[in-house]
Amino acid sequence: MKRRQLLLGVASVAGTGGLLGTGAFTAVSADRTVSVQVAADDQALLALEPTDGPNGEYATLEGGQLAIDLSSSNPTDAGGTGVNARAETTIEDVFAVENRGTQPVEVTLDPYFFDDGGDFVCVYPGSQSDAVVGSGSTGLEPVTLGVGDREQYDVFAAVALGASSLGGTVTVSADATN
Amino acid sequence: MKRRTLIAGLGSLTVSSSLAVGSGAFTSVSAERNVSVAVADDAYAFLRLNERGSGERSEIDGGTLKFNIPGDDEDQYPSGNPTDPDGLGTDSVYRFGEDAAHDQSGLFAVRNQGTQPVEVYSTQDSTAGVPTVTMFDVDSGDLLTENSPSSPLGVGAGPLVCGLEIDTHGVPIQDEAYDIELTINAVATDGD
Amino acid sequence: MGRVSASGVQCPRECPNEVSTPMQRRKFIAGLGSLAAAGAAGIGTGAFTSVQANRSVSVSVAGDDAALLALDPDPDGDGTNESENTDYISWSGGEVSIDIDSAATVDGSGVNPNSTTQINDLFKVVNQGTQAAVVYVDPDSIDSGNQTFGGSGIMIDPQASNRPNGDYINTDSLAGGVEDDQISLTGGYDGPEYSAYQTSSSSSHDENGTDATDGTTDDALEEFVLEPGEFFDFGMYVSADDSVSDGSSISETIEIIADATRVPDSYVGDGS
Repeated sequence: MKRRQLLLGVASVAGTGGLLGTGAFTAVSADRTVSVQVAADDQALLALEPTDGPNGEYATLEGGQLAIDLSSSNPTDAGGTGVNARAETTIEDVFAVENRGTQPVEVTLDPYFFDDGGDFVCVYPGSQSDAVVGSGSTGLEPVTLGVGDREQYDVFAAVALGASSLGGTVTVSADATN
Repeated sequence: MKRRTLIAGLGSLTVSSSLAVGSGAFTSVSAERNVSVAVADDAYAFLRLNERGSGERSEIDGGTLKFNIPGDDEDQYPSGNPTDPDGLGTDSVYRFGEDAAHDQSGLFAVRNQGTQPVEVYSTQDSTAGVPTVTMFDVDSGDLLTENSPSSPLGVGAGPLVCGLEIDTHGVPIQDEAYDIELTINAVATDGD
Repeated sequence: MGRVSASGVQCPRECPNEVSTPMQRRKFIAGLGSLAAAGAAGIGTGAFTSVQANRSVSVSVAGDDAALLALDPDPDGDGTNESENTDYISWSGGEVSIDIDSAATVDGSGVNPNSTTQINDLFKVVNQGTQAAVVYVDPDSIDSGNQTFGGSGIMIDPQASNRPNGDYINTDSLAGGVEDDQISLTGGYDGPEYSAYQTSSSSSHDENGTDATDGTTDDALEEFVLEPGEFFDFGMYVSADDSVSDGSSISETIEIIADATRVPDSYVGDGS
């Protein structure tokens, strides 16, 4: 952060004389206004929002906060209230992260994987879907988003053993790269 | 920030200032968001599967669709004069388009409760020495396979009414039933 | 001579021999375990959803005498065969085969050259399903050279007699061993809709004496109908022309089809 230099100009002394007497102050307390706006996720500097496509239905912006919800509290228009048991479900392009700041950032989700016994759900960037669904996969990498860039995220759920619900809280972090 | 000295008596210099947070860039953000995924019974899930017809060739067990060919209650059909077979013949191909009571078309129905039209087909991991099971569209008679799936099933559209074709060529006769895992696939056609 | 083995088929039409392609295994993120499950076709770019649900199918495979389409010389299960010519059938792993050759438990070892041989009631074909079905033999399952129409050497045609349904009776100048209601299960190699009726011979007629050439396709198909629990006798017509030499033989795999979708709408159960 740059420090701001302030040049102080002193007006000519008027009146009775120029000498400062004692009693100069040694402290000042100045209140200044700081204006910070809290925006809904889809308007924020780091925007988090459901995608415009058909699978945006699986994400919500309740109270201005993005949530991924594949349950009866967010049924699809067609009436679906959850993933199938003993099945793998892949849903691409559910939500997007967009950098509306002025510096490139690296975006990570932590955790991106929730399990219950052998059943699990994973949230991952679409550009790294091979890491989830291909063979010889590696861990997820952070996503670098330049200013104005956007990444769409997918959801994969595998239920083999009878978990009735999966999920938790994801921390979406964005850190400036320089 | 350098402290500004204020010369008493000379009036104050009012300089507006603002908190220096840089020029609108953020350096880190951390936001906690919820992910919740529920597992629904077949009748309520995104890929909705229902059994059809009276008789237990197709039934719902523990919330999921299950098949037994012949059905557990096959010895009750036709009612009044039942036939009670032990199973399918070997080296044969059977098609079951209805349950044993023949009171409804199809052995099961597939509906799309997701968000995009999907193509539906069945696959079976291993067919060596066991019956080969393939789903078919009861109205068209077409087998629904990976290479030749159903035409796209729209969201909320009417059910895809299905049966099972079972091929027992090369499958030995035995007292125990063969337990086969049939995978029902629904893949969205590339929309966007 | 050759051995004829039978396989039961229940199809509304030609069934291709679908062979499943091997599934691609999907590996998950390293270190987090893998879910060995069927892979989806073509996960690529672009928004889409896929669901793969594993569902269990439990299938019982029974011997020919106990199957949904049963081939059984003893349908009442009393331990004594009702069928008369079981000497010409054999069993292997529960599956029946027809042996009109030295494997038959008779003194002879084959049919005569330059002759026709009629062996009826090798076993009963029993409908142990839950719907009426048209039961016949697929003409294309027999090699064209071994078909009685157009073939040569040793030729065969499967036959049905003592049938429970339809009106067809033929009592005029029948060859020896041919039953009154006997029809070709291949429909003279043209399919069941051409069997009992629509022949050019006026010696065929129904029990009212009506010329069979006035019959319809539905009338012909009715002859092949078996309701649940009903059966007819399965026999074999064999013709050996004078080109065959002693010791020659054929071997065929014939396809017996029971098709509930071909039962004509006009068919009304006869209540028997």
